[in-house]
Amino acid sequence: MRAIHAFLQRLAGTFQKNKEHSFAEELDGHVQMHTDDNIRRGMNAEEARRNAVMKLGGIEQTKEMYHDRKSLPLLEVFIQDVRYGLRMLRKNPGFTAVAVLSLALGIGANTTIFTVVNATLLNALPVRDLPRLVQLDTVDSKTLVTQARAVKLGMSYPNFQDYRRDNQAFTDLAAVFPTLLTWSGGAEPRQVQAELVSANYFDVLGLRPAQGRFFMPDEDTKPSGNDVAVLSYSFWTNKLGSDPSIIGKQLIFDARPYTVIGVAPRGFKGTLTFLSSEQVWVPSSMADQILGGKEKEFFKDRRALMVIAFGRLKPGIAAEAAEASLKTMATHLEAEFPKDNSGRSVALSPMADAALGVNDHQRFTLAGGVMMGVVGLVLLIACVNLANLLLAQGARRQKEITLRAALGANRGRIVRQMMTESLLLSLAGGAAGLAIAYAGRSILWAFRPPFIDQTGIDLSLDSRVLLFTLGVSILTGIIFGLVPAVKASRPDLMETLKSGGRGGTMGWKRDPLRSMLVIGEMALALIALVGAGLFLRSMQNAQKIDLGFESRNLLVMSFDLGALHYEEGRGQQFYRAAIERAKNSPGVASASVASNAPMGGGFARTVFPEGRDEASGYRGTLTTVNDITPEYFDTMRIPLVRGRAFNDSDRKETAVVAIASEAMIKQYWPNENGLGKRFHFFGDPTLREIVGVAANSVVGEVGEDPQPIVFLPMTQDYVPAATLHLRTTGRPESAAGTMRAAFQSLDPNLAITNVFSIEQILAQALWAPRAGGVLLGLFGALALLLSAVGVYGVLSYSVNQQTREIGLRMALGAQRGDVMRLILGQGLRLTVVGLGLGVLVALATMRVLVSLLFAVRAYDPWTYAAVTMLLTSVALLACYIPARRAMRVDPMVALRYD
Amino acid sequence: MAEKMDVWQGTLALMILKTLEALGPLHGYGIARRIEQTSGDVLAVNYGTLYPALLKLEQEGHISSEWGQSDNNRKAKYYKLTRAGRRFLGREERDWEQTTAILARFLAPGKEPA
Repeated sequence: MRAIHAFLQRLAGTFQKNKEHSFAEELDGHVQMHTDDNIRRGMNAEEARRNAVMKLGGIEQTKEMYHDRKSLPLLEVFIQDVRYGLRMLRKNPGFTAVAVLSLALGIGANTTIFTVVNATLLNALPVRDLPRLVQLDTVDSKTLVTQARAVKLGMSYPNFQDYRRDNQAFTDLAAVFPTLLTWSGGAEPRQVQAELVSANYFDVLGLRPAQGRFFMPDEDTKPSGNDVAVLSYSFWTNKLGSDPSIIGKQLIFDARPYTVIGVAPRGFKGTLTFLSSEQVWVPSSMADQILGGKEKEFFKDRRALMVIAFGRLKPGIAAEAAEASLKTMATHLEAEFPKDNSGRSVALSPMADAALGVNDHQRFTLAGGVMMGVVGLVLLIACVNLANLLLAQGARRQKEITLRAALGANRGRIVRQMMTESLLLSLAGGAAGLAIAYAGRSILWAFRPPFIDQTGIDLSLDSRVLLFTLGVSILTGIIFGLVPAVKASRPDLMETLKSGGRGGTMGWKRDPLRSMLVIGEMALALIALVGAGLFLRSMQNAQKIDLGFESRNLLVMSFDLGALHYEEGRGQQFYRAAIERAKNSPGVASASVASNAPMGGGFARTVFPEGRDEASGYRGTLTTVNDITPEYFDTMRIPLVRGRAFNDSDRKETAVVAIASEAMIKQYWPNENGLGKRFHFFGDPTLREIVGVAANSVVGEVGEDPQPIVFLPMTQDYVPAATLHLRTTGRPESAAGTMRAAFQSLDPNLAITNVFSIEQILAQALWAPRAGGVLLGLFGALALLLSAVGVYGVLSYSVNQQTREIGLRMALGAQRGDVMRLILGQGLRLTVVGLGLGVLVALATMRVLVSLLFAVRAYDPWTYAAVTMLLTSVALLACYIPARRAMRVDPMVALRYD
Repeated sequence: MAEKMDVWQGTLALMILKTLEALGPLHGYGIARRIEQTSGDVLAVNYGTLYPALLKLEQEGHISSEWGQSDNNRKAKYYKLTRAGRRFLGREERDWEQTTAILARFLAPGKEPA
């Protein structure tokens, strides 16, 4: 306590000057009193005073001791260094501007990317003790899955209930089923994101309500009276104006009143990172009322993997142990329900990882790593440039440094002084970089993927981002400042540098440090550019990928009749009416209804071809199902390869039919044409006959391997939530308004969602390759620019130093061409070594990118060739300018020079 | 060297506080004379070291100072104990006595410390 008090006093003392004066007076008094005493004892005046000063131990010495105690000497030195450094930077405005600008670009790029990483990968779910939370997923060793990466598959609600009841490893397990609700409270009905959850959901997460209460333990089991809802904080503030008396009020979801019982804490929006922050939670007992059609049955089906399950590990139980015990339970469940659970077990993932999507988390992490890596390279190049500039400056400042050393500054002091200057530069660069990042976020935001809702991700420059920028700035300052500082503080080495610079040629032997910097810079630039090049190629390829359907002039809009409790007859009638209205609207060529939106995937069911049954141990394949009306293929312009499309005579009472994609035929009946083949779905013995084969088209995501998909007539396999597809004759957006009105007149309570032209969907689907390509292209260009500036800087410095030698050579008869070749040769030798080194490193590291690339190999020769050519020509240009200057050296002037 | 200096600073601080306790408010020169008289010549050519020590004690809040006139009308800064300083001195004295008592037992000839 006393020590802190004293420290603060000293800190204040460092910045006060008047006290020194007051101490001088005090000392003066001291000496006078002592002198008086001495005189009284018989000394003469002069002797008396000398004795007093001597006994004191010297006036100046005492003042100095006093000063050191009054202030903080280290801080004072530091302040001196800063003042001096600022003066030096002001004296060289050109150098300072170039340095700060290149640092600002490097640090700005890093900060921009870090804001995203911070908001997504590092953004911990705001729940209690996150590391103890794990997600439970089904893994199926028996059913084949054709989609890449679909490994962890969620869980069925009945299995979840058994695990929850019988497990020993968790304090409790909770389940979530994400869905959509139609909220008809405002002017126009609209869909809101919602989650059906087990009643213990918030307890397992360890949350406390901001308002009201969470669910009672029996609200997911008791037969009625569970029409209650918890709102997310953002829903409450954005949609309900933070209504202070919201608790107990009723909101209408899916035409049913729900009593609001609570508001979740601020910032909590569920357990997934990429969710809208506006959420509604409803107990899972409401599934019957909320879900429609097949979803309703599937929710109770032990086979259907409908929910996301997670749990909190009991204290002292490790995740591995918990997984082992769950796997044992899984074998029991498999034995007890062999039909549903055959081949199925369970796997755990940390909740923190699962928040990014349990099967996608690795890709996200990798993408984040790649981005950070590339911006890191850009910053490193900027560092190398600065190190080089500072080296040149050090040579220029040699006189000043020698003088300081002569005046008694030791080496440590000089290094500290130089480091202070570097840190001043890097901190200024960091501050400017922060401004760049602030602007960069909006550019980045323009590339956000569709699944990131506007309200979902918070790209704010929070304390962690600021700390990151500060850390990077300091680290940067140390990286580029240390070598020049140490070198400058060694006058003996300076001597060699000086003579080497003035007399000889640029090269490894003459100036290894500077050569190393050029080589390093070229290598770094090559790695960054190869990465960027691969992503640009990938972006190109992704845009060329054949979707399998015509992507121009297509409009889709989604709706959910289940939310309005339509039964099937009414729903079918609605579809017919909607298609009729659409076709009669101006600008619409054809229209169709399908359960799946384009590139949106869809329900997948396990398919068994006739004659191969689940009982026989045959491994069925999870196959996406799309329920469609007859004109679907016409509307989408998906060619039928064989057989026929559906038509109006395919009805409930007629033969049960299906159309398969070519990939599906290849999967089940390789080398056959597939027509007339029959199959059934798991748990449904109805045999469906294939009457047509459609060409492959994109099911889930652009760039996927051709996916098996089976089309069923909507009349034979009704679903209440569907998407209307419109082929327009003109701009698709213009048809949207008319269709909205048409839907309104059919049922004013229906919420229309996701009205998109296919171009919009495509833009969203191609988000990753596009954003990757554009961003990395941008950073690659930055790396190129910085490294060009660097090579130019080194070479032109070296030409300056060689003026005398060049003059001598020319005096001895060297031609201008020889001089040109000499200088170009010096630069190019270093460039070639750097590029070679870069290629080796790139070849070794780019493999990790493969999973992020569309149809590009990591060692794509075109990319490597193009990047090498580009860098070589840029280096050539950077060498050419100084070389031309060297060529114009006038031997007479040069020889007279110093 | 630095260690020895620390010990000196510590001892000096105790001597200053004790002086101020005994004689009341006093200027730096007076304190120096008093310490010299009491301790012999430890401060002989080093009155100066007193001032950083006084400053430290003041920064720590153990003493306070104000300007005044000396007996023969010289302008001088007078130091006096604060209440915290008095408490501190009490604690330090006890500690010191304990330490010296223990050391005395070790250093006393012919007696085993037991």
